Amino acid sequence: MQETPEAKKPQWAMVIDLDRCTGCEACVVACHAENNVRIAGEEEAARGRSVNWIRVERYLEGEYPDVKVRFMPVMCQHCEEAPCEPVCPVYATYHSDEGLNAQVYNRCVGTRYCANNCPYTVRFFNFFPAQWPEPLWKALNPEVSVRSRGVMEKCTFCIQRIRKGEEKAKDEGRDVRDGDVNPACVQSCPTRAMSFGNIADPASEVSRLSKSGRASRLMEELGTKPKVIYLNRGE
Amino acid sequence: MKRREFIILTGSGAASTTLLSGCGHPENTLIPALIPDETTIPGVDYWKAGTCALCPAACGIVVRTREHRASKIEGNPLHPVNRGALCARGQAGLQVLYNPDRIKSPMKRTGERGSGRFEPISWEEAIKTLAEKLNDIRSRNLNGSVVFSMGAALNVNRIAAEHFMDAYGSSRLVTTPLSGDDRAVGYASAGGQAPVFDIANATYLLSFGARFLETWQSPVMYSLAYGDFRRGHGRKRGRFVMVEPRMSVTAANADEWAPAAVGSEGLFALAIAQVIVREKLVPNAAPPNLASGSLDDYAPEKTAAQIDVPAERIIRIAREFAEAERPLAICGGAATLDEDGENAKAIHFLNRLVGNLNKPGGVLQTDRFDPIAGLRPAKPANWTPLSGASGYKDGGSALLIHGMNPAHFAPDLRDQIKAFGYIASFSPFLDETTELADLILPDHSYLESWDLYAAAARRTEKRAESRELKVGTLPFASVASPVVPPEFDTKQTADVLIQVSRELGQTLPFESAEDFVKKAVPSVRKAMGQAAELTEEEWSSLAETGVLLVEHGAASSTAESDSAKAADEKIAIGPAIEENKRDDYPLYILAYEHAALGHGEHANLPWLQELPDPMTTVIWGSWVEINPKTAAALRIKDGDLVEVRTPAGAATLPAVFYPGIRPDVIATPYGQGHTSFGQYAGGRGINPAQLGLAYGNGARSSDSRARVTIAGGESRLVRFGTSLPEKIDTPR
Repeated sequence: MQETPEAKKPQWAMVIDLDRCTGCEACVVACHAENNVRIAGEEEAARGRSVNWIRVERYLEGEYPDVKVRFMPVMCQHCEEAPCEPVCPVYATYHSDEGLNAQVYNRCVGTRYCANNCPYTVRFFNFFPAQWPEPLWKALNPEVSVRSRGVMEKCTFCIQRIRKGEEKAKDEGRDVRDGDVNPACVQSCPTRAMSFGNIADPASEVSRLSKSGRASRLMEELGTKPKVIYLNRGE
Repeated sequence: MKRREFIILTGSGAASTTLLSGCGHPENTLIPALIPDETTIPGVDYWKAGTCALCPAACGIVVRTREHRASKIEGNPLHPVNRGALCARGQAGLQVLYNPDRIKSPMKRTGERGSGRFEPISWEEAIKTLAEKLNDIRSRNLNGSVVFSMGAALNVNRIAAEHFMDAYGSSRLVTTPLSGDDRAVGYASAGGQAPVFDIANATYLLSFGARFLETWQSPVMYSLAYGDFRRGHGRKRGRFVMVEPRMSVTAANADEWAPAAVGSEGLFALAIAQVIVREKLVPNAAPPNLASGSLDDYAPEKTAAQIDVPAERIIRIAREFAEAERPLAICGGAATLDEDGENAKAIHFLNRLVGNLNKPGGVLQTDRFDPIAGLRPAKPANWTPLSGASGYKDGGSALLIHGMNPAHFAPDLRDQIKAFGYIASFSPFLDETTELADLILPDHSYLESWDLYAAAARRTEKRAESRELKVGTLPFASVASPVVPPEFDTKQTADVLIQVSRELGQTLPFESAEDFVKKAVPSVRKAMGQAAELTEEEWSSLAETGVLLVEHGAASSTAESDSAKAADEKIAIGPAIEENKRDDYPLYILAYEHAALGHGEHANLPWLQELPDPMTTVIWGSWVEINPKTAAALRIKDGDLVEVRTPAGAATLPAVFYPGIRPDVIATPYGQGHTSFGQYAGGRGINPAQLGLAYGNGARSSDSRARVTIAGGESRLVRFGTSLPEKIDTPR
């Protein structure tokens, strides 16, 4: 690992074309299944304690009959200047050299400072232990740890899939390329609204799309430098 | 690179998969779930293919398994319908397999009928019990009164049931009521299988109520098409107009939403047709075959008031539609509530008028691809859609029921169900209908079953030399083998029926569900012009690829039938809608299919219960949508508990302010209101059937009226909501 100069490390980024996104939420269930995201149940969900690493924001504008609706999938934006990182007293959340905002579950002591500081509200705290009634636990992904009570969790860009893709590329003696890594949300997307890849590679699809005239980042005026790029709908 | 991606890159489907043989994975045989543990490598993923069973679209899936446990479902990249993508429902299939409320073994009733008290029995006893019962009925010459009622089912289970009933001597086959969407799609077909609507290549899409991004026909296939419609490579962004009284998620994605009056969609279509004909916007515009009157009676100037959309707007839409390069009109959802199909006929006439039948971007009428006809009964089975007047009426000596839950979606039929002398259910869950059973013979989940399903997909491709679009047909078969061993002591229904048949001295043309697949695959290959017999390696790779395809199928056939092929049915829409206004019930009420929970058949999956409804963000419950202006007049606030009363009944529900609904309409989703069906579904929300909105009850649902009053009391409404500021500079 040390031999690789940092500059050559892939920088993971995602592009979401809002003109393709229909708000169907296939990504949401795909993420739950891939990342062992727990179910809160009605009682806890009513207290705002459901977990959605990715959610679909719905914006309603105008009054009947001139109503406009916009859908926008929102997950951890993996900010380069992440407001959640400096406030963690135990370095449970940190920035990896691949541009990922990482969360170390067994370091987290549950101060929740990071969630307070996240402008995108994409961090979720485990207020109670996850329940997987027999035999529902069998659907758990063995590659992703089940988070215990008292720790913070959030989107990882499917780190387990990134590692697999990187190892595969390494085995084949080449750099990672488009298609090696697809997070669960991107894989499932029925309209192909999402793309994922190495933005440091000028030939990658995310690089190409990020230069689109429709590209923008969510609340970029905050200076967080998100790694998720949205393509506007346009008309 | 994953093994699956390797398969894609090396070519398409079974024909090229011999390349994969000898890859050193001994578990990849067509009986994967039966292979002992010592032949799998711990920590290594094995992907097994199958067919999704959570809606009739039957997308191809691949399932990640490790140590014989399934841990993720994804779309099968080789499958021509969904090409690797999968919807929210399909992803949740793991919770069907590992649902804690599955019935764990055969059971017989111990308490009173309907008491829900059962005790576990062995399969030997269960099969013997059913065979003896049926034998007894036959000895009294009452076998003709036995009903097999089958809704959503795997192909092999359905064919087994057809053979079983044929041999047993009863023709009473009953299935779920046809949905409005099914009927609307049917009007556009010219015989053969359901047509495919080439949304990807249309440039102007006019949808009358068809929620093609959520529930209509094949949501993943049309979502893929929609992505290309919007931002496909090398094409202009398509324009999408949706006519619907309540803005669905599909309408929310439209460029323009026209909230026409409830039931006026057919009138709207004829008004458009009138403009196109009178302005000669298309060459050789022929008027429709009207049951009465002339097309000029439908001029927008005369009908706009009833449609409740200004005449100028109708004229503009008509011009845009006719002048578009590749216009397409589709029909479904609220536009089919007239039940007699006149709206659908009028809407489909627009396609004939602009001449888009079997053209790129148009309606692709598709011949049936049925290579396994030889495995079906000689006499084609005739499944009667269930309604109050046909199906269970007059009872019978026994009811065998599988894959449908009429006691939930049509509670009025409970007495008809209970009138049967004996009830055997094959349901894997203790739902409302299964509670009434005398004997339960639980089916495997689809991920533990064998199946084969064949159809024809359509694809429009750009020809490299001429850059012309060309429509092609892709016949395919989707093959499923068990991806994991049975989780509980359940048995695939086809196998149960075969065993009961043996006890009854009947013979079926296949010995098991597995045998069916083994016999069907060679016939499919033969129909595709390939060698019928498969090598051992080809069988192994079929478990991974899951599809049989004709190579280069897209170029194989282009049935360019002309408009004349479509039946020129008479359209009977009066120039004036009969209004069923009632002062005591001032509002229309619509019940619509929940995108995730369907008509309630998926309410037992916690992932889908906790999936926010995209428009209201409600989770774990029911609600009624009301226009804020209407609510203000009734002094109802967002989230208030209200009583909704219809001539048929009443329900208390939380009100959700919904700016995208006509002020004279309220709407509530199907999906909830189960009285049983496990810990996640039971005792939650409201079943619209109690308001007289039973799914497929044959009534004109566009006439359903309601009134709303504040009920008082605390409402139980959980919304996912958002904590982002309401006014942020969001990407547009």
